Formats: sequence, structure tokens, C-alpha cells
Amino acid sequence: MPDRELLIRMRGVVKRFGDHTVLDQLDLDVPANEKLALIGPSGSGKSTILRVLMTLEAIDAGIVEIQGERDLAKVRSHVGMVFQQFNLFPHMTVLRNVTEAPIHVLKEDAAQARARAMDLLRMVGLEDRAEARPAQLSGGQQQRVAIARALAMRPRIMLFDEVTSALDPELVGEVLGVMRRLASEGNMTMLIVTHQMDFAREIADRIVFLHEGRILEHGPPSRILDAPEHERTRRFVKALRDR
Amino acid sequence: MALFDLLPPLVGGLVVTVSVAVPAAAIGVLLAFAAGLARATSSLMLRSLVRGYVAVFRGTSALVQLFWVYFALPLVGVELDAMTAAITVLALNTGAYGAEVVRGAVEAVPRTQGEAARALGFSPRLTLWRIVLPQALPATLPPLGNLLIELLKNTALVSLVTLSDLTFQARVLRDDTLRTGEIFSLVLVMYFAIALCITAGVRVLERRLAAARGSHGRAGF
Ligand SMILES: Nc1ncnc2c1ncn2[C@@H]1O[C@H](COP(=O)(O)OP(=O)(O)O)[C@@H](O)[C@H]1O
Ligand SMILES: [Mg+2]
Repeated sequence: MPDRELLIRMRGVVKRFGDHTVLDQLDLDVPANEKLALIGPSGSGKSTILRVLMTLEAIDAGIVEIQGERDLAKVRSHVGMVFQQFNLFPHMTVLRNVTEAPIHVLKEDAAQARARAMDLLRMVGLEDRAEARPAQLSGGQQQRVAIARALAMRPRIMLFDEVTSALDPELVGEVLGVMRRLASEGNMTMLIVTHQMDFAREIADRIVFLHEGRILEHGPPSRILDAPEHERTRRFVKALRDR
Repeated sequence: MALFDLLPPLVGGLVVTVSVAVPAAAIGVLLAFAAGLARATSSLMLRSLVRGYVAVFRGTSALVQLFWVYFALPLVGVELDAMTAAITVLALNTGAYGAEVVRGAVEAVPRTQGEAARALGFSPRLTLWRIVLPQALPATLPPLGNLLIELLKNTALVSLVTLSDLTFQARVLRDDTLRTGEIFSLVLVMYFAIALCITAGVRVLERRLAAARGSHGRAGF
């Protein structure tokens, strides 16, 4: 994909917590519209990469550019994030969760923001729960609201951090369904941290395997999952499959 | 038992007590929020300032503070009338304890709420007003209510800086009439009635907040 715009560029990125180096000279390029799956053992730095891109963590060395911009705060509105624990605002209705940022951050007209929020809620299959509180929803429903909430900011890049890991197994499918649909619509760049290898195979253009804060290998799903170069990747993929 | 003739002087005292307590409560609660939120800001200077204020007012008695403001401050050229001194000291006192209440409630809101807000582009200020404070507020109400009742009890100190509050009037009246039992029973009932009002007020606020965040509450916060 040589002609595509490079949306995310990370070079020599180092992130430490105390004397624990979590990202160790990490390089990563993500072209526009790529669906990238990040896999790797717990603690390998997957969440930290997303959190750095979302400006939730500052880096200790290296370069991070989004759309060529190094001051990530300036491009933050082009990036949306969905968290493992949903993190919906519990004191607001579902609808307000989705309209809050467009109205108060983007200064959109309230009626317009509500109309668009209802469209997004319809897309995730929750238009009839607009007046409910997050606590009244199942985990799967809450996570779908969280996706709608992030999409309301019209991001070009969506970051998904193990968004189905906190869900009961029977609720995983409805969330993956929404992500699948988002991926099929084309012009969205998606970075997906997941342990669902079947889903990664199906949706990802490329899988990155992280180990101890470095990219050990990356490539198309078929190669990473079926014919990995590294023993560590092989063991990791096998362990997930046997789970 | 004719209580009626005792009432006018006692009601006069009650008015003084309430005129001290109400403004002190209002200013004290505002101070509590200002100071409690200041401790959650990133400004080191602001945080240290507030920490000093809280330490001083929690570490000394309201009586000493009152004497200091009313009798010592004039020595350095700051003269406050008794009413102003009383309101100032009680407000600062309530604010200092209240700041810790507000800080605790703000810190109890999960950090992840702030992260979700940041990911949506909220500024720190917007996050505070629309995400953190509304979630912290309910937890502050019962302890702030207790502080207001504490304030009410502390108003009895103001007679020591020449104000004729309810307690003071009761003592004067007792010396004049020697009807000790009746007078202090009446005074007891009056203080208790105000305390009940405070408790009821807090309950109403709590219920309003709960309703605003209930499933059919519309605006929330
Ligand atoms: N705020 C933090 N303070 C200290 N250590 C942290 C913090 N956040 C993450 N870490 C550590 O960084 C490492 C990588 O974390 P993370 O990126 O969450 O890994 P992953 O998402 O791949 O499981 C882990 O060892 C974790 O304990
Ligand atoms: Mg993680």
C-alpha cells in the first residue's frame, strides 16, 4: 500500500514507568484506512501504544505523528478510543453520552447533534435505549454506546482496547458485529487490540505481534497466525487457540 | 407555665444566631468547593496555599480563631465588626473541613472517567464541570450537612465577641428570671429545629440529585 497517506508514524518510541521500559524503541506505521490488529501477551505494551496515540500517556523518547502532526493534542479530535471497561458517563442518559462531546467540544447545534446521535444509536442497534442510563444496559449494550459516543466526534482513527474482554461470551458477538460493520464502511483507520484471533483474521489487513514493548513481527493475518517466523508468536497464537 | 413572655428575647437571639449561621454556611460551602477543587488542580502553588489554609483552620479551635480575628487583627490595622468577624471565622472553619470532603469526593470519581472525557476532546475545565463534579456531588451532601450542623453549634461562641445570640440571650434571661428549666428547654428546641431544617434541606437536595439522574430524569446535570 505504497500510495496511501501515512496516518500514524511512530519512530523509536520509548515509554517507561519508573525503571520499567514498556515501549522499547518502537517503530510503527499505519496507513490511512488500514485495519490493524495488535496482539501480544499481557503487559507487552498494547494498551500503552493506544494510550500514547490518545494522549493519555506522554512518551519518554521518540517521535509520534498523526497526520504528520507531532503535537497530538491538535489532532486529538481525529482519534476516538473505546475502552475495555466502556467508561460511559454514568450520570447521563445514553443519548447525552453520545451528544455531550459534539455539543460542548465541537460546539455543534444541539438538535443536530441529537439527530446524529440517534442515527449512530440506530447503527449500533440501540435507538430504543436513548433515554436509559448506562447502568440499565448490559455490558454489550454499553460497549456499543461507547462506540457510538466515539464515532459522534467523526474520528478518522478508532482505537479499540480489548473492547470485548470484559463481556460475557454471549455478548461479544454484538460488539464485534458493530466493529465489522464499521470496518466494511471503508474510510476508517482502526487499531484493534484483541485476543479474538478469528476476528483479527477476518477483519485485519495486518497483524502486529508485540513482545516486551517491541514489534516482534507483523504481516497479513494468514502469515502471522498460520506461519509465524518466531517461536514466541507461534506459542502465543497456539495458546490462544487452545484456550 | 407561661412560656409566651420568654419568647420575644429568645427570638431576638435566634435571629442573631440565624443571621450569623446562614451567610457563614453559604460562604463556607462555596469555600469548601473552591478549596477542595483547587487541591485537584495542577497548580502547585494553589495546592500548597489550600493545604496551608486547611491545616491552620483544622488545627486550631474556632474560639481561638474568633478571638484572633476580633481582638488580634485590629492590632495590625484590620478591624472587623463582631458580626463580620463571626461570619468570617465560621465560614473559613466550615470551608476548611468542607474542602477535605469535596477533595475526597472528587478523588473517588474513577480516573477512567477523566480519560474517557479526554479521549473525547474535553478540556480539563469541561471535564471538571460536566463529568467529575456531577459525579462527586452526591457524596459530598451528607458530610457537608454534618458540617453545617457543626457550624450551628459553633455559633454559640459568638457571644464571646459581644453578639447577643440565642445562647447569650438565654443566659441573660435566666439570670433575670431564674426560670432555668423553661428557658433552656426552649433554647434546646430552637437549636434542634434549625438542625432539623438543615438535615431536611440536605435530604431534599439528595433526592433532587437522585431524581435528576434517575432513569426518567431528563437534564441530569
Ligand atoms: N500507569 C502505569 N504505571 C505503572 N506501570 C504501568 C502503568 N500502565 C501500564 N503499566 C505497565 O506497563 C506494561 C505494559 O502495559 P500495557 O500497555 O497495559 O500492556 P498490555 O495492554 O499489552 O497488556 C505492563 O507491565 C504494565 O504493568
Ligand atoms: Mg491492555
